[in-house]
Amino acid sequence: MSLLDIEDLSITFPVEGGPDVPAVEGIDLSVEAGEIHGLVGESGSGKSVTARSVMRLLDDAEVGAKRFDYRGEDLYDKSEAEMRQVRGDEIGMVFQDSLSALNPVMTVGEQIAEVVRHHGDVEESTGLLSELRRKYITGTSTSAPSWRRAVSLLETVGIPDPETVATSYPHQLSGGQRQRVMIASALGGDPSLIVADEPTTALDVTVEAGILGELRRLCDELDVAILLITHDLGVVAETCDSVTVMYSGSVMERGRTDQLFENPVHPYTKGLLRSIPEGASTGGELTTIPGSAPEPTDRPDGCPFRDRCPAAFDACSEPLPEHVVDDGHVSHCHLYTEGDDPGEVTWDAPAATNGSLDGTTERTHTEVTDG
Amino acid sequence: MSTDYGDADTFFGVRLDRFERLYEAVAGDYKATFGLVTVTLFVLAAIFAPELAPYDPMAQEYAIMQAPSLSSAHPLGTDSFGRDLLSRMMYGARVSLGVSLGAVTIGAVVGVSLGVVAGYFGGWVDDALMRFVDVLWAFPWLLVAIMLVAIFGQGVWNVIAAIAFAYIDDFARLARGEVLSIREEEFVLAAKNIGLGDLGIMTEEVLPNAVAPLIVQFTVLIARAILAESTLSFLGIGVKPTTPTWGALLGQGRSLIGQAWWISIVPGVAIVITVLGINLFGDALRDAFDVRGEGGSP
Repeated sequence: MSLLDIEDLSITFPVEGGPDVPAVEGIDLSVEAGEIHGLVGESGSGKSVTARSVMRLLDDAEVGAKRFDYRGEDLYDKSEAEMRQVRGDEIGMVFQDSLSALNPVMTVGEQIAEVVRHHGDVEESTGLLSELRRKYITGTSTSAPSWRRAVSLLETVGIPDPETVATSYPHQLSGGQRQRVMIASALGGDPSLIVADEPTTALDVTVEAGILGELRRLCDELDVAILLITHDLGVVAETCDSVTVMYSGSVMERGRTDQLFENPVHPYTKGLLRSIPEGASTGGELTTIPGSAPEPTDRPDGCPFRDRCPAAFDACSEPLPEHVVDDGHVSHCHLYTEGDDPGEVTWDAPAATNGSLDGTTERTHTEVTDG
Repeated sequence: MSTDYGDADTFFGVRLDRFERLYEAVAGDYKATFGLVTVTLFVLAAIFAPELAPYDPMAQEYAIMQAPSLSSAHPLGTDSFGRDLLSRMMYGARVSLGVSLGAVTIGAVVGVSLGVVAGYFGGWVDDALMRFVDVLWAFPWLLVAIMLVAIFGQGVWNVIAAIAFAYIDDFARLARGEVLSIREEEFVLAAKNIGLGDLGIMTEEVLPNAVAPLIVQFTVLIARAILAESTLSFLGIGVKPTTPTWGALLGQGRSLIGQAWWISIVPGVAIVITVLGINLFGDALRDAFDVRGEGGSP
């Protein structure tokens, strides 16, 4: 049984006086215990919304799913009180912008200690009055178990001199350190799953490598599963065990990372892999997928990718099929429904000769890049 | 962990690093030091008035009526009944400072609660609470004071209630405005993600971010409350007329300003110094709470 098992998830944002915005339409997503699962897609593909729906914190959206199981229990059947226990305790979250996701007026040690008190294995009162006393007057004592745990968590995520860092305010730390603090904070309740929403997007490449290495190590050592949201296939290749590729609110292809990278079957996945720049800049033009993603309110029937797909044919306007390529490797593409191999998708055809593409929308599209 | 944490870095259970910023903000700024010292001196004089006052503030000495300052045995002179002005100032400080502190504290607690709840929840809660605050604001506080005095008679608590009533809307509006922007910050979402409830988020995460401007508001209003109390005493609807307060002393000296200027100037100067001191100290407090050190709202 998967740790997180979502089937046929749809997320719609109602808009007053306009058409509703279907951010996500009927996707499946499953994360196994102790693995890093990459959720990759362009901006606006619905990956962040999907991630946040796991915490059940999309107040203004309509979320519907055939199944939304975490450890076999449907999260959307739980009461708000039960859900508060799941947040932090079972599922932690790491945000993209660590500066705004940490409270600016509290030391980071204080913030991690708070998570530990609420969800960790320490016997300290979390009543409102004791929390207020700590926040406004005394601070968490450095001899309190929650503070010690906070410091040791900072050490766990690879922060040198954790005692000093624990007494720092978020703005005093570097971006990389802050992101490590966020991870430490997410670990505070010993969760089984961490949802990391583009944790390295705001960081430069060398720091990014450190953070990703840290996530990989924590996953291996602490046996915590990570749902890693990213738009960077390079990150997926380096870090993830399995991956789900999203495009415009739908899943295009999913499978183990090696399956997907060695044998991509969906034209979109192929296009993405082809767009990864090779080596250092050689001065040539970046390879792109011509066109741009459709607006959520203006998607074509059937496959949302068909207007940009070089292999599009009549059946593409039908609802997305499910084609099992290999054990755990699933593609949602009509090319494979009749069981025959469609052969190589010719991406090199100039956009102008491709009748389904609007030449005017062609532009350098570098959303998916390596590093 | 190899490090051994002792309790050495706490002071009565309060972590020492909590004091550092405050100490730096006050000690590094002579204006703040001046503010803290004067306010502390005035507060101490008020608290220990029975021990420190050289005379009974009610004792009348007809032989030395309107004795000028620095004359005879009365350092600040005497009033028209020959009562020692210094002693009356010290006793007056108890009422003036106590009333203003009490009134602004009550106004802050009620106003900030209303404002935070309104700003955090928004929607109809916001509308309902803020319209209520509008009504409070539209109500002339002097009228409230007269009404309270008419119903309950003169007394310290009625003065406190009337002044507190006038300041609820100031705090409510300021707190709401701060919370409106703070609640959109991602750390509020992060707090929900660790399972905090609405009450916890409002008090533990949102409010600490709004503290800096609220402190400034608090100190400004303390100053205004001293003046408000003086106004009420001056008009004769404050505390009992025989009770010495700075405002009452000022009022009594008014008709004698040609013959005995010190009777009104001394309380007037005391009010100015206190108001100035509180404002200067308030600025330092704001800096201490504004951890980003940018000034303005955090």
